[in-house]
Amino acid sequence: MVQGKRSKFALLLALVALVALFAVACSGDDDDSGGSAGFTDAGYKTAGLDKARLITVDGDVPIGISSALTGDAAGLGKPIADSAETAGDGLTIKGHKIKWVREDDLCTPEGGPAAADRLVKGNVVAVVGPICSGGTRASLKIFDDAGITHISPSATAGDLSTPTRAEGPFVTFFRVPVLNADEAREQAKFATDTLKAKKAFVVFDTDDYGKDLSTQFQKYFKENGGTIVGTPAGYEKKTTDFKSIISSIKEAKPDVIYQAGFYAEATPFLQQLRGDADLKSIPYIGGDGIKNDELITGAKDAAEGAYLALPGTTGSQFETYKTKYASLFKGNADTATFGPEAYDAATALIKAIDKVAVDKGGKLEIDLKKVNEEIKNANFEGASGKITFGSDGNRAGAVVRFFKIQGGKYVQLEAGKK
Amino acid sequence: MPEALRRLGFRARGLPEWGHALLFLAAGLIGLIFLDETWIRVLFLVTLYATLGMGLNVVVGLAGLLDLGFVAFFATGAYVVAIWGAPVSPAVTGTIDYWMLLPMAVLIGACIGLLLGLPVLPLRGDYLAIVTLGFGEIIRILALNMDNITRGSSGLYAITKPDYGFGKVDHVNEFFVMMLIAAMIVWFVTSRLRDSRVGRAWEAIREDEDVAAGMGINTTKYKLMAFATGASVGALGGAIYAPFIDFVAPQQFSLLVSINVLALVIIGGMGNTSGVIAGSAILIGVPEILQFEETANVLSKLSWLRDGSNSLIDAFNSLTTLDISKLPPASEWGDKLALYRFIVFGALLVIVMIVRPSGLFPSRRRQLEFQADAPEALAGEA
Amino acid sequence: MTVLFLASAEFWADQFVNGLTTGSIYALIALGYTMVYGVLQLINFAHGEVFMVGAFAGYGVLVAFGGEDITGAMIALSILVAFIAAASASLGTALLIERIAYRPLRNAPRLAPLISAIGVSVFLSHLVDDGFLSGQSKFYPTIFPTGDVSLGPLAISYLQIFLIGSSLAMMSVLYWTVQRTKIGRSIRAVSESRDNAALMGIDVNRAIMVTFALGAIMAGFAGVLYGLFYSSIRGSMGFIPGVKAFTAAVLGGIGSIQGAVLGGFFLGLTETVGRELLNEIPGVNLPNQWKDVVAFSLLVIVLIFRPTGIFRQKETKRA
Repeated sequence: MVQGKRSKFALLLALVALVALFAVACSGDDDDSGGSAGFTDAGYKTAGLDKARLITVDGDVPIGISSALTGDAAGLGKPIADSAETAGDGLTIKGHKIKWVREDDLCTPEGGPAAADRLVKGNVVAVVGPICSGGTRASLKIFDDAGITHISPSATAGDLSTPTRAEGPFVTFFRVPVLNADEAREQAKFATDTLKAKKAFVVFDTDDYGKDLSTQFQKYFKENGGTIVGTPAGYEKKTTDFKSIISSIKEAKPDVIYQAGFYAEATPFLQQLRGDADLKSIPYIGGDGIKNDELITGAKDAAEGAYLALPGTTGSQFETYKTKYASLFKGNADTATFGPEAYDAATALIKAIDKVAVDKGGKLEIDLKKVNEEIKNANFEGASGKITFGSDGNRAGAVVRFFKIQGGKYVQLEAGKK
Repeated sequence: MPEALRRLGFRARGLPEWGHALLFLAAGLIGLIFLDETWIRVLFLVTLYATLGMGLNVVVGLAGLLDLGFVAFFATGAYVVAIWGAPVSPAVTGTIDYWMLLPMAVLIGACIGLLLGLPVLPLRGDYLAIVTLGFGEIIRILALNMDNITRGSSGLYAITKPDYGFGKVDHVNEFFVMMLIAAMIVWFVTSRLRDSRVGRAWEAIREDEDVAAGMGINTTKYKLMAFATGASVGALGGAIYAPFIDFVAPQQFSLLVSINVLALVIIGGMGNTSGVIAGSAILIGVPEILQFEETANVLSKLSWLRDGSNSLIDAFNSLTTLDISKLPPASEWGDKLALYRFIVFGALLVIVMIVRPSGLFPSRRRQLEFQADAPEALAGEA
Repeated sequence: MTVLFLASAEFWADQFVNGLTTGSIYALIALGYTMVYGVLQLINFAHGEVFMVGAFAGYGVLVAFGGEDITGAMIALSILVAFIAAASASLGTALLIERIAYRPLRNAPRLAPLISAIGVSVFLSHLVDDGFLSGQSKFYPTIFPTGDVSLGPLAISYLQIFLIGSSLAMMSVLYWTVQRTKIGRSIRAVSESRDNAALMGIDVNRAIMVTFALGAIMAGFAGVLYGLFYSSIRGSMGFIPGVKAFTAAVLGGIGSIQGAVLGGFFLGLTETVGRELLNEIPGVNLPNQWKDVVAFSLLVIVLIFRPTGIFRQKETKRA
């Protein structure tokens, strides 16, 4: 049982070798973005939408919402679910009321398919969600098998619409948000052109979203002639101790700090960053996951001067959404991340279902194929700008806006100004 | 009782253990006929965790080694299948057939078990617990940060499906059948091991390592065997889980998995399979079922309970200066319960342990340790 | 000498202070683990949640005092009250946990209390997160005076000085209590042998409760320090520091008070300075996200050579 000293050293050596191997192997270059083909006929066939797929609805029309209702992402998920419901306020589908079916997808790859199963079982006609990329990826097939069209208000990973199968991307999947690649390109442009930054330090959440966004940013920042100083520092959700990263930032002496992640971690990061005398005024750029009410209430003065990119514009329907959201859910539309997108996703679904539903003696007959077609042809002014979809289900013609926190408020910047 | 029956495992009280296993198999197959996909998904998870539990039971229940990092082996199995079975995997070009990958995963799992076992086996009790916990975290963080092999948190997907000759296992129901078969095999192997010379050596080590060594048992060898057996079962579970969920990413392999598996083994009553299945049904099944529409429907029928309680609260409020808020309508109970399911889960762990400290179905031999004065049972055991 | 390193002296000084700060939090929590383990041989998995409750109690006090608007002498007073409130809240929670979830299981199979402890941990963290806060974080008001003290390359903020200094003071008080007082002696007796202690006329239940109480006070104290320093608190905040503190306790040799303190600082420094030192080796690149790999690998290495931790106790059998 007791091992000799020599074997202990051998073990130690093996361990050190192993760690060193992993350390060297860790520098990865993952470069798959954008560039996706459109839907194919074969894709329609696997979804059973190459021919009419009829369902009958008696009574209220059930529309699903797959969002994070509990857990760590609930702060993001609740406003999304509420905003989606807001879109149905006062509307009926051929005289039938809308019944919202909420399921908790936890924003995880396991929660996604489980929620999708429950929604399919609940006989929903269409779905808003899932809200996170991991959960969406794992539930694509379930919705596809059921022929149910779903629109994600917030899943931004590029590869969700790149085909991993011969049939091309899933024809039942559409999404409203701007993709990470587009957001990162604009952020890099903002950093080099508007802020005139040459050296950036990158901090990122190691999840799907943070990693993808930060990798894309680095790529575009370098393309624009900038350099990434230090080693990009990752952290996991719920991290509160950023002191070690901040020491590395001080050492690297960047002229801009870029963070890809969520507000829950951005808040303590900014507080600790601005708590350091040397880093009080260095420009900070964050993305859509960070632009949230909670950032300002939590970080207070430390949030002042931060630049935040937010994909999407304010559409003509934004004021309507804002008023209704406030009266129905006491929510603040200005700070509900992906709220307008959720509102638009739900609006698109309601419009489509209303158009194709046929009254059959008090019951509604709905063709899932036609619902899908209507979504593909959607063209209307929403709360997040004009809603149209490309041939692969991604939002067409999206824009990125920049905000600066001034006096405890998000102030939108004019193009090219800081 | 006739000797022939006793040899088959029939005991004085109740069914033999393989009877429980058959009952479970039958229940699963009946469920397959009557239940829909949402339920089968839950049953799959229950069976998966029961299988993992059987693996961990060898390590914790039989050999007495407290392992808090069982997720490492589960992750290993899943990643082996995903890395060599998913076209998106950056480190490997082309894919290998699933039926080659499955034994490969089990084998690699066993190797990782040995690799971990070697340095940590001189450790005892809780030192072992924290090192295994650390090891589980190391595997997860490696998977998270080695982008050029695992794609980090973007994960691996489009994983090759098992081909059973007439088609591919692609549907929840088919995966459930596959999982059931695997569970039965694991149950058979682990129960044979337990009743063999190896199993007795494990139990001797569990009871007293020094005495076991004194009796001439090569403790290092048997502890390594326990680790490797447990690890290969964990890897088997992972290898079936990967094509089922069709998405393998580090966030699925958190410490929570290890804790869940350990908790279900102990709640079930260490050392027997029926207990593990019951533990899995409670710990994995209940939080899922709390979210079901059916649960909400049942609860919404309890409006009389709400009315009754509220009138009591009214009466109480009118008598005292306190103002207790009334219960929400019964139709919202389902939503509330789904929202608070983890709170229920935590409370359940505490309650079950207090009510039945040796688990729901304590293993017979373990029970004997506490009831040494039951001579009949002793005779049956010998 | 400095030529050897790629990074500047300020950087190393900075990381050293970071390590000490994290280390003192780990150490304070680790004390609770190690003492409870000493008397009950129980891994008190719910200890991280005791720490969390303390952080929230302190937060409540600071908000009641006016949050961001606290100024002048009120800062000192409010923080003092926050410490007292946090220590009491943590103490109450720990005693309640002991009474409800551990005491009925004192003679149960060894792993039963472990599962019960995990249950309490899940219950409490989700009660706060799902039940009260809907998954949101709360943020401590930033009231502590800002400013640095410079010592050559070393720049250390007032808050860090306060954090490290007060932690060391609390640890000394605890050490004195356990080593020099009557109740301390009974705690040590119970951890030697519960049965013998009872035979010698020691009230075992009382000793166990005092052990939980002392650990809880340290955890509550750590909770407020954590909130003041890192600002963000939530229901699940106790989990990771809890696991790390447990690691620190084992690293130092579980059951030993000096071991827990040393283990805490050792772990804190490993995550920061240790990881950066490895980065100095050509070809090695371990950014922040690798810190736990470094920490746990170190744990394995230390335990290979010293299977019962740095402060090796006499190897007693506790099956």
